[in-house]
Amino acid sequence: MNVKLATRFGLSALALAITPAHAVDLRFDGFATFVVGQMLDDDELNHDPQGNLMTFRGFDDQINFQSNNVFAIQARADLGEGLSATAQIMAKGVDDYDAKFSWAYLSYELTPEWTISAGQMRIPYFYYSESLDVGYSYPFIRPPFNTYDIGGFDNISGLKAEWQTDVGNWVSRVTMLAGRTDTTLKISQLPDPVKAQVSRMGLLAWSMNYDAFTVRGIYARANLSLGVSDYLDAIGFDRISNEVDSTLTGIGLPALGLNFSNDARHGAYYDNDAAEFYGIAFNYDPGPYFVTIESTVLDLQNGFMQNPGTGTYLNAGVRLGKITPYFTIERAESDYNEKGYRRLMAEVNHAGLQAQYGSLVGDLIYSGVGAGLKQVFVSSLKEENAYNIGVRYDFHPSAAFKLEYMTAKNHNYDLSPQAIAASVDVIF
Amino acid sequence: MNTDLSRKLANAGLLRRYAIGALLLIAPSFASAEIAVIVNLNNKDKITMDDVQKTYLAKTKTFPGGGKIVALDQAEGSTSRVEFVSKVVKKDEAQMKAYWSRLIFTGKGVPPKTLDSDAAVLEAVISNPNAIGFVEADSVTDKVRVIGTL
Repeated sequence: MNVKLATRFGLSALALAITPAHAVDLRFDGFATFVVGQMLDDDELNHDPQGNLMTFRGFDDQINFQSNNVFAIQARADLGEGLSATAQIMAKGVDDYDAKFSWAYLSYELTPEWTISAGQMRIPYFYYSESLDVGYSYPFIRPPFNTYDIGGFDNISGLKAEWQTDVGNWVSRVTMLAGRTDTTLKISQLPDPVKAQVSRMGLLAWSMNYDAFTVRGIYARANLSLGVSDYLDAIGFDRISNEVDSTLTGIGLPALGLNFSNDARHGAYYDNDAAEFYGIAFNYDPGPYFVTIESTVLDLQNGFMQNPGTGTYLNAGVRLGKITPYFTIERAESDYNEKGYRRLMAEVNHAGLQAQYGSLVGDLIYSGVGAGLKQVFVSSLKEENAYNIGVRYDFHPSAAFKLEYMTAKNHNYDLSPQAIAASVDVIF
Repeated sequence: MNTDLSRKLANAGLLRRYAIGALLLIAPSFASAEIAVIVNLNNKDKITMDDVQKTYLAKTKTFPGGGKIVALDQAEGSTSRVEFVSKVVKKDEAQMKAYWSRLIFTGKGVPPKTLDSDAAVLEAVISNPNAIGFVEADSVTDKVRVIGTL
């Protein structure tokens, strides 16, 4: 009691000492997600053609306790007169709980309808983007994986303007955002993280809500640079050239010395190249049940990765008191950058090879180089149908337990991985 | 005669209140209190229950007359709030929490300030011309304007 009183007086004294000229209303909110899960398949099914163990949604064949865990605290200081400062610090299990500022920005409410913000914030690509890490806010353990895979470009430094207004009985919300981000990315095909930059990003999102119905559309464009050219030269172009030469010299023929121009190589790089993103989402949530449909397209227009990639999912559930059974079906597919591939192939002189090595060997070289180059472009091709079924149990006013079975049919590797996961999502 | 009648009526009212109180004590889970949505007496705007619902879902930030809304909430699990959330916002408290968690962590909204009793809400509404709140209908005084009861 005494200790408590003393602490209270101590705190009051401290509060008095640091009370600023104007009253600041400070608010703390937090959330956490704890996930445990495991793949259900036999080991041999879970390897790609190179023999690497493939994880599924971050799970492998061992019970995994930490990689999906998230713990975050958000502080918001209301400075009065419409000005506020918000910061969110997040620690993720996948980063060994290395706490980072996921966002930090200043907001100014110009009018009740217009708010402008400046700083580091989440890019609202998707319907659930801005609460992506807040498991409590959505029904599933994680939002549909393929659709929500934006390669790590989650946050941006920039300016955002939001305009919320009534249009008849509808509530309209327009978000405009401009900014840039420099980061490092882990790309699954490459051994080490690479430098990445998104610049000159412009984004426009518009959502309309009427009672239980919401529709949202978004368009974004940016210039994308990835530090992948050295890798692509080493594991792509130079390797292909070296392999052709070693095969030729191995059978006593002269080396070809195949070399691609920088211009053609650029078709596989990302060097300030335009990228576009667009999507549409529908949500109907009258209470007893809910349905969400979302479809997005990422069009990189250049480079070695999936191009364009589309993702579409349908999620629905029924609220039976504290129990909410739900399911999701998702389809993701991508094309490859055929233009980039053809630009490189145009520099392989088929007739010249036949003239130099004879038509048989010339054809073999031509098709071998073609296959090698194509591999550079199709390595991240994706065609996958994914399904999950689960149940959310709101066992506590601030916590939900979820149990989910997830599976997918991956047509690229002809795999059907399965996993089961449970999570506890908390907000406080 | 007249005074007798009014006394009797008053007594009946008291009795009824006690009887209801006793019932509430016996079977609190079946209690369904009437909720009154209240604003400051100086607030002359026409406000519908739809407007109130939108206010508590952060879809409306201003009164029809243009005044910036200061919405007041009550503690989770309190009779007033459970009734209000179910009848006016048309969600249950868990759905309300999930909904607001999206707004809070996206910076799209700051939840209404939580006060700890009907008395505190009444006091806040009396003193703030832009305030809106909800209390059990029984607690309402003539110092606030009732938009509606449910």
